[in-house]
Amino acid sequence: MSKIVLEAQKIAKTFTHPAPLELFCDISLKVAQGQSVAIVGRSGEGKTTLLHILGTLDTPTSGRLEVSGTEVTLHNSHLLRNQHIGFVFQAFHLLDDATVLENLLLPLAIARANLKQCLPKALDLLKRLGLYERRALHALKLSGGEKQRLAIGRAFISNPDIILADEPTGNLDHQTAEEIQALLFDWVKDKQKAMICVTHSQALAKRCDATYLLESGTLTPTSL
Amino acid sequence: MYEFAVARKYLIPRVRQLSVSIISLISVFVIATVVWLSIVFFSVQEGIEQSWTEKMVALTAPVRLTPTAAYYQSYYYQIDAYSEKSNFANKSLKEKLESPVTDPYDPSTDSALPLGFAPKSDIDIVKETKSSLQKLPNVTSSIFETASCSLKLKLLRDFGPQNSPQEQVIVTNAFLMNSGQKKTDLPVSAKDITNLVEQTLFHQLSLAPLFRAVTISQVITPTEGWKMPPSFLQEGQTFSAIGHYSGNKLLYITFSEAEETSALQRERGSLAKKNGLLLFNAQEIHNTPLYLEGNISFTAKQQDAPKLELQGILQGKRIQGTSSIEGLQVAAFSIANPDSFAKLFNNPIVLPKGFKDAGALIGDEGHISYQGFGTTGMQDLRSSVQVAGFYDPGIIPIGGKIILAPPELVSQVQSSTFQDDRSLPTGFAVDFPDLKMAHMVKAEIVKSLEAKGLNKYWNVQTYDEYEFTKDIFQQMKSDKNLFSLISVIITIVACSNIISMLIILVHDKRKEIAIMRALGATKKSIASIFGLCGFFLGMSGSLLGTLFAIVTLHNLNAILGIIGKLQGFEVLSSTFYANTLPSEVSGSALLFVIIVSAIASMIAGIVPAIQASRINTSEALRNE
Repeated sequence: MSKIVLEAQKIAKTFTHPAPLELFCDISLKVAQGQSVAIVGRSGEGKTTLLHILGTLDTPTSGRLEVSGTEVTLHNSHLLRNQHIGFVFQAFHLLDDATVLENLLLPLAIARANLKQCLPKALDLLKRLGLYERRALHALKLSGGEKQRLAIGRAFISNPDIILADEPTGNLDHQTAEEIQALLFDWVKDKQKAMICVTHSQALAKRCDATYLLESGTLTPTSL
Repeated sequence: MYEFAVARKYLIPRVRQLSVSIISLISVFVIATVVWLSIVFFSVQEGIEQSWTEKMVALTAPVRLTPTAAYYQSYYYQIDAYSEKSNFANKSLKEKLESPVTDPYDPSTDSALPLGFAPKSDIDIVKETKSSLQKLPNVTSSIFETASCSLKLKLLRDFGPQNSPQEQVIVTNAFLMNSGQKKTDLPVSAKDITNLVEQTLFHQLSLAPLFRAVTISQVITPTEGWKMPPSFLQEGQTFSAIGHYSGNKLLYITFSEAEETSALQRERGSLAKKNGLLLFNAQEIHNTPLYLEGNISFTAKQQDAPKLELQGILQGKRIQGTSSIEGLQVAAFSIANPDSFAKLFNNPIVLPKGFKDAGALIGDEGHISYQGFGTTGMQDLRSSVQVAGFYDPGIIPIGGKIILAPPELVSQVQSSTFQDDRSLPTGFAVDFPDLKMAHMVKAEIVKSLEAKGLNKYWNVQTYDEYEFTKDIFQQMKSDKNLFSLISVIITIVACSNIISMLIILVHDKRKEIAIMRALGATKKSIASIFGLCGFFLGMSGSLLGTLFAIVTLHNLNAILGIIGKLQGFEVLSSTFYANTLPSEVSGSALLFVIIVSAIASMIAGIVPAIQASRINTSEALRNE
């Protein structure tokens, strides 16, 4: 049995403002090493909110969450995000004024790592992502595909246990989307890591080991 | 620290963040302006305060002991008026110090003391005080006295070829004060030396002492002309010259084209020296005076007084020779021997610079007159004096009236006029090398006086507590406090710009803040990025302002000179301020301003920093 990387138990999220709304309740999920999970569902069902809760960016109204065997609290969430979780967003979310290399090294800088020592690893990663030549360019100048490759590189650099991807191919053309998917799934397979994808893309969901449907506040396994 | 790198990136002006960049630049500029003005103001004020303090202390001393009412009521003081040995007259402090007896009263010969007379005490207050002061390390003390007199100065000017000067007179009431300090003496000018030469020659005295004290290196001929010895012309030289005739008789020869106003006939021609003979228009001349008109400069080398070896240029040709200094004006000199220079004067007095402005020069003579007991009772007494220098009295109200004189002269005047006049200050002047020690020295003096039970007889004051300086120092302190307050307020206002700028920056960088939070940055890190931004802005403003201030202070006199020329009168009157303003940056001002701006800019960074750390990461990422 592979090690559980992320375990959510009875997660609920309720908004009180502007009007009371129970987005979901009693959501439980386990993701193990080497496993990729897709979460699908209609817009507005709370997929991104769930992903943010799983990624400790948001707090659940109730429930329990463990990442890499550590229970998430208010005090350790930033450490877990920095060391065990990688994020890939639809809108890339790069620092526009920073260079490609600076963006890549940002999680390590936040972790107060010795950047000089990390540089060869970062340059090697940029080569694999096909961004080595562009390392000194500002992130703003990159194409959509390049931006997402850089975002994935930034997620990989700190060697997290799990990647949380929110529509990672949503803003990309078909061919680029394929490339991005390949990068993510190869990583999961090669490094025996975990991934949770929130997506509308059937192709992406199909490549995942498991698919869950978020509907009416409940998360149920589904097949496509 | 990535926080530094991020803060630095945020502060680099970018077109995409035009509003933030403009507000940042305005903030830095405003802070720089405040810092600039504050440092310049505080530095100049501190410099002026220091120079005023030095001037005031030069006139008195950093610490003074003045007799209190208890002293004047004491047996020790009162008893002289009842004692034959003291000529039935109260004694000055100096007389008390020099007197061999503590108690001159002899009940067998002197009349009985009135009822209620101060109780007898054997303690010699003045001598005991002096011995207490002598025991303090690094401290010197002397009795200072002030005497009132009237000064009459005769200014002899325009001696002319016949040595018949015109006489101007300055008469004024003044106070004589003895002072050993010479820190605020004004420099001796070439005019002063010329005057000393003229006065010496006028009194037919030898110039040898002056020549020993002073090295004259350059002289110029007076505008009205100088009778040049014919030997100055060199063999073979020819000059264009003008002969002045009365009838056929050649009276004198001049060299310049100056407009002639006399009724004499003039003939233009050439003056040549050939075979040792002087020829004017080829006619040999004997004993005809040659006058150099206008200001012709000669380099001078002193020989036996009053002779100078001179070298100059006339009509492009070198002329040289030996001549008496008489009739020449000194243009450049150095005081070779200050001690000899000081000894040149008879009863030397040092006058406030107002006298110099009124036309007095070093070397001028005059006399002081005062009322005193002479052989026939009260009468006018006189002592001749000679101006030996000028000093800057600063802004002491009576500074313009205080004449510094040798202690013997002051004593002489004071003891003649001593009528128990307590309005004229007297006491012990206590001197030491460092003014900053004044309060410490005062405490030590008070302690040693208390030990001997003498403290009730003396009022011990530091220079900033004297009656005539207290108001000025208090005013300066109050000015400083007021301006400090104003500059703190303006700095806070300037820093409020930083708050606005940072709030806009936080708003602009919401997404980036959320990204950093998503990647694991703590709230503290995010807050410190914006705190650092505020601090950087504040500090760059301070740094820029400090640089401006240094440049301004180094060129302050030139800048004020330009403004003065534009407005037509001095910006800062040299009567109140020094002739040159201070150009040193005050360390304490710099520290004060930098600390204030650092604290204000850090506080300015706090509000936006808190705002930044509270951004909801999930929401910010979703809204993009």
